[in-house]
Amino acid sequence: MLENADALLLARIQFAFTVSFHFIFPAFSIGLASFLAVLEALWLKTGKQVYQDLFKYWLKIFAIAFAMGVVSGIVMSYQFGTNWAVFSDKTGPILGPLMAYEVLTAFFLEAGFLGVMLFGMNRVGKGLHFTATFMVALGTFISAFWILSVNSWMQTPVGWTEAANGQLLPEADWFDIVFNPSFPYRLVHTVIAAYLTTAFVVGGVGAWHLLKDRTNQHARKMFSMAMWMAALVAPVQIFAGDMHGLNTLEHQPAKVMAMEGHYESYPDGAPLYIFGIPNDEEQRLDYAVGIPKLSSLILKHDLDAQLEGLDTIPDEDQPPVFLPFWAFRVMVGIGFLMLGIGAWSLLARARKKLYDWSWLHKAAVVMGPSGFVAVIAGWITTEVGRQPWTVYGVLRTADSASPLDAPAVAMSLIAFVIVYFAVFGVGTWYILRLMSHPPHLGEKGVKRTEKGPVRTAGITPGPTQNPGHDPDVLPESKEEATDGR
Amino acid sequence: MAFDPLSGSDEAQGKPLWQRLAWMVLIWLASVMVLGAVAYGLRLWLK
Repeated sequence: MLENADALLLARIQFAFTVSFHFIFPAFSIGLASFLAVLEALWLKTGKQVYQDLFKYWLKIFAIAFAMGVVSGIVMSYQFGTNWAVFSDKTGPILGPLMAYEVLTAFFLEAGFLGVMLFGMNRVGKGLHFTATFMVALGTFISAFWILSVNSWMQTPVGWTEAANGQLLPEADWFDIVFNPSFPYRLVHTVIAAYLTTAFVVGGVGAWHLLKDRTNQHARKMFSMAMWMAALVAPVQIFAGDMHGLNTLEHQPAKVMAMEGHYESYPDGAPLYIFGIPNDEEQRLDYAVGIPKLSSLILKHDLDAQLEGLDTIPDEDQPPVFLPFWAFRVMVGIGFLMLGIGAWSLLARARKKLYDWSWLHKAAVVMGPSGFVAVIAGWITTEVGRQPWTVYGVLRTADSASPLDAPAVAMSLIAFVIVYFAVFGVGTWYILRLMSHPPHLGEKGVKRTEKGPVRTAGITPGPTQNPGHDPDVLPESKEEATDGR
Repeated sequence: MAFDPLSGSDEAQGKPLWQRLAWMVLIWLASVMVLGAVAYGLRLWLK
């Protein structure tokens, strides 16, 4: 029989698994919703077919990603009750209303208007349809706003008081709670990360199809749009990340010590370790390779600035170092690779070779999923780095879990792993299958199994124009379409 | 045959605004109800 301590570890693993799985989808759908709004706006403004086709192409993918994000997100909120009942009980008076706002947003803005987006065009017309698309994009942002406010309050709790029964109650001003000290930084950093994640997926898909056919106008357009995002937003993200790091140093110094691998204090300037194997038992960084004083320069803007280490933090309040240390390096490394791709694309664009440099396209394909790795690494950094607390400095993780036996948590963990890999595996496979087909002129949307005439307004059904032609196979290019081939 | 999410926009433009708004509310409500049913189903599964 497993001990009680193992039930806590299993509950943490379960939450880490489900939240990591979940965040893949909103990280994509937050950016994709805005991308769709931009595409539809450009279509309505310019009337160009390419924007309409790209809108339809990505709308199918968005619908599936969104559905998986909502379903996995609903499971997350229920999990607060199953595995983290003590946490829910103690923080409910503060976090309950914020979570409720997030759910209301997800239901009434995102999900509601998604129906209009998918099925409403022939009923509501272009203007109202664009309104629905905009509301979905706005909904994803507002949803992120509330959920990040909740998380940020857990990292930097303010505006609370403790009741006689141990519950944390709002003290005076909800504004202080919602806009707690780390929230603006986390919101900006996370939302930009979602935009970059989407940009690199779109860019990767565009590059994939450019490698097959450099003349594909749709692939060119989406690759170009994605590379503009990479070139312009990646530097902003690195700056926002730096600001977020400085905010963390102010409010959660132990997390930054773990991220930097600083077990000891440095009174005359701390090194930036590029590599090392954190050794929590011996409280040292093995095989460390570092650049002297660079950490002080980055964190304090002074080469000789003093930086305290984990030796100033009581043992029972120290986070584990290995995961924050390495997850942080993965995130930052990917951020700089994104910056590099953006700069490379600018050079290619300046030389009018954006659609010709196949090595750039290959690199963009490889970097396609990198945003997901970066956001998961970022969340591992911030969540493991704030241990051993669920509410930083107020409520310990060990005191937050439900009084469950290990086998009960283990069984639900196994069920989650099986169901998640089955359901979301199929969904992800289908998204990849959709992405593997190039967008083309007259993009249609989700295929149905039955075959039949394709009728669009005022046009004779396709098969009667071209007998023997498969109505679901559309011409690959505008030239081919107008050639009548 | 394929489902086209942007088809029929021109025909819809010709209809009165109140009719298009009514359709928007109807589809919106149906979507919220579908998600509500999914959420309730998940709740029953986790109980």
